[in-house]
Amino acid sequence: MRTLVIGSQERIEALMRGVGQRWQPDLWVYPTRISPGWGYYDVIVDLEADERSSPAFSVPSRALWVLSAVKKPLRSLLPAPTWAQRCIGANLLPVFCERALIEACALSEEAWSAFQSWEPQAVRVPDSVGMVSPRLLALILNEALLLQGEAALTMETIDLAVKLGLNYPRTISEWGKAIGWHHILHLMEALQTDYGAGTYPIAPLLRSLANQTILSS
Amino acid sequence: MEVLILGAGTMGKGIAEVFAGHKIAVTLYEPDPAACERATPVIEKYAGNLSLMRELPQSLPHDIVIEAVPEDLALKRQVLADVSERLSPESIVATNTSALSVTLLAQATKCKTHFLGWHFFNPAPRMPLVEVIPTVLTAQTVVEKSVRLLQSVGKVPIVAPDLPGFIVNRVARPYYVEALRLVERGDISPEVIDQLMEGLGFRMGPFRLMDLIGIDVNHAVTQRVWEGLFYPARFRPSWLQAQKIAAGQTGRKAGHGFYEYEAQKRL
Repeated sequence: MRTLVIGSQERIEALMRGVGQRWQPDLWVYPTRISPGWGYYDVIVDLEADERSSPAFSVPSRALWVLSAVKKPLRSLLPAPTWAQRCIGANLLPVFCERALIEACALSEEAWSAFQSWEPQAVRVPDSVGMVSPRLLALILNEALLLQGEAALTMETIDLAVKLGLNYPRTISEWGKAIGWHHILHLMEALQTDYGAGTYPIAPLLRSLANQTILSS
Repeated sequence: MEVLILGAGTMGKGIAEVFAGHKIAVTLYEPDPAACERATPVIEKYAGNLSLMRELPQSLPHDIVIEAVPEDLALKRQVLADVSERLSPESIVATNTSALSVTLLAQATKCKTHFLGWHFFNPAPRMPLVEVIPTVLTAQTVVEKSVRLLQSVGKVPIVAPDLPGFIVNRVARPYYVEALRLVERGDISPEVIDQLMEGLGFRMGPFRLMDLIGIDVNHAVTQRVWEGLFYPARFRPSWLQAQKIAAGQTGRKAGHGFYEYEAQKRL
C-alpha cells in the first residue's frame, strides 16, 4: 500500500521510531509549499489533524485517511457523515505511536475493515476525547502535579515514589518530557471541555510546564 | 535493637522478613491461631531472629513497634491505644497503613511525638520503597531515625505528607478510577484497556492489577482517598467495583474478578 505521512518534523520522527517503521511511508513535513501527488497514495496519515485544519477534506484523493483524533474526537473532525467511510481516528501522539500496537477508532465498519487490512495491530476503541491510554496517562500525570502543588513536594520525590512504589515503566517527569507537557495540557483541556472541571481539574503546575515547553521550542 | 510487629498477615510477615533478614531481632505478635499457623514457615526460615508472640505482656521492651493489622480505622486505633500503654516513651511506633489518616491514628496513642506512618508495599521483602509519614506532632528526630533505620535494612524511604493516599496511592488512583469509568459506560472491555496499557510498558493493565490487589482492597483505598479529599468527582468510587464486591467476585483470591481464575484455583 502506498502510504504518505504528513505532520511536523517532531511528530514524524516520533512516528518513525515506532509504527511508522512498518508502514514504510513517504514523508511530507506539513505545511510546505510543494504538495504531494495526493491521488498516488492508498493511505494518508495526518499526525496533527486534531490540532489544525487537515488537508484531508480539500484535496483530490480517494485514500483511506488516518487522522490523529486524541484531542478531538473523530466525529468532530469530519465535515460530513459520508467521510466516515474512509476516515479512521488514531492515537498518533509521541510515545503512544512508538509501541507496537495502534489505538484507533472508526465510525463505519467499512473504514475499520480497510484500516485493519492495512494495519493488523490496530486495537479499536470508542471515538472519544483522549481515547484510552492517553486519557489514563494524562490523568496520572495531572494528579501527580496536583499533589506536588498541594503538598510542596519535589518532582524527584514523586518520581521516586512512582518508580519504586508503582513500578511504572517511566517516572512522571520522563513521561511528561517524552510525550510533551503541552500535549498533556491540551488533552486535559479537551477533557474538561467535554466533561467538566469537576471531574477533570487541571493542575496549575501542568500549565507552567506546558508553557515552558512551548516557550523553549 | 528489638522490633515488634503487630499482626502476622501478608504485610506483617513481609515486614518481619525485612528486619529479620538483616539480623535484627523481631517479634511477631498475632493472637489468631490460624494466622500463627500460616506464619510458621517464615518463623522457621528466620529462626534465631524471628519469634512469635500470642499474648502481649504488660510491659514491652521493644525499640520499634510496627502495627500491621487489617486496614480498619477502629481496629488500628484500638490496637495502638493498647500497645502504647505498654511501651517506653522512647519507643518509635509506626503504622503500616496504605490510606488511613496517620494523624487520626496518632490520636489513639500515648506516644504522639514518637508516632508516624511507615507504608511498606507488597511484597515487602522485594519492594524497596517505604513512605515515611510524619504527623504535625511527630518529632523531627523520630523522622530522621526512621529514615536511617529503613535505609539500613535496604529500603528507600521517602517522606510523604499525611494526605489521603499519601503519594503512591494518590497518584495511582486515576489508573483505576478512570479505567473503571470507561468500562462503566459500556463501550469498551477491561481486556482492551489492559492490552493498551500493557502495550505502553505497564506490567499489568488496571483490571488485571485490581484483580491481583483485590477489588475490595482497591475499592476501599479509593473510598478513603475520596472521603479524605472531601468527595472530589474525579475519585468517585465505582459502582462496577461495588457490584463485583457484592457478588463476591473480589479478584484472583476469589477465583473471579474482572477475569476468571477458576482453572488456576483448581491447580
